[in-house]
Amino acid sequence: MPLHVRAPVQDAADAAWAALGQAGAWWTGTERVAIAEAARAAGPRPLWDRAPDIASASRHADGDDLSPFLALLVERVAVGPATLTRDDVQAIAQEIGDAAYAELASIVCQVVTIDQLAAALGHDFRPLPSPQAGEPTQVRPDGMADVGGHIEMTAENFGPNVGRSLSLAGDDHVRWRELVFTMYSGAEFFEMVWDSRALSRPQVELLAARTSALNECFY
Amino acid sequence: MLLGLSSGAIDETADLQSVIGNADAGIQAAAELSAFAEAAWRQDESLGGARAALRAAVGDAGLVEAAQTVAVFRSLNIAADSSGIPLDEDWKDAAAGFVGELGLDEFPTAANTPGY
Repeated sequence: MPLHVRAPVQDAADAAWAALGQAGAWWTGTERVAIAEAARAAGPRPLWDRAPDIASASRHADGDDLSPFLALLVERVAVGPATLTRDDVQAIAQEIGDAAYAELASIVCQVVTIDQLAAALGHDFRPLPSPQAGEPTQVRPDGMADVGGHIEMTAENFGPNVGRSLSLAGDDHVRWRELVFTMYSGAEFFEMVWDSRALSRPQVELLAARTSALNECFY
Repeated sequence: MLLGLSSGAIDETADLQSVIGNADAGIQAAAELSAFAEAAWRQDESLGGARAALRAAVGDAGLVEAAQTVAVFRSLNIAADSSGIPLDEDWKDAAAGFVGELGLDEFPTAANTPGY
């Protein structure tokens, strides 16, 4: 019997997927789909097998393809983010813009979430959306500040810092957060006892901690 | 940290060595959950068997919640590491107790995590 996710999860995934093909704040629909494609192609390889050398890669793009530099950047964010230092990210941000970097990383997060869910459930990956015409809005979210991370994020925060990590990405960050909200804790993050779900909170946190350790994520 | 807090809240004691694969967590279906997390992370040929074993242990809804959790934390880790978010102030002291014990301070991101 096929496995189905709840309606809020499906809705959040549908919204994220539809927006991938539309122009964002800093990337066109064509570029966003290319970023999504590169994130998918990066695959689930172990993080330590290589960290792509992006510094010397060509900045020239052919047609609708990403430049080798951007393709390797997507790959590094997708499978080697633990290797990114503040200096690395600030050099990248100086070249493409800090908000464009945040949007790129946020697209990667959305694709990885949805693809990983499909893989875990034994489902096929969704076809990527067709790119839509339109120009990036170039709107930078208000209220950003340097709070000690690699990039700026919202000065105001409620809850764990990861909740504002890519807030510089604006709408894409909101869509990714909705995926996280519907698929993980909902409104019960601060509740240590979950008694209305199939899994207990400790069971969920074991999965979470084991996955984070496999990703070698210190945070 | 949330594994320890949440297991304590229901009078269970989770073995935190399970986080790094060195022990059974000691909670219900721990072995199946850990095996599924590892197989889903690798996305290799072991995933089908791990999925079936977890489904038998926790049911369809439990398997879906498990898949969602693995998917979410894969991207949460990317967001955390690519943005370099600082450690949360109220977690620093709590984390200090088990970071060294589990060897988490040897992860590359320990050096890239402001506040640690």
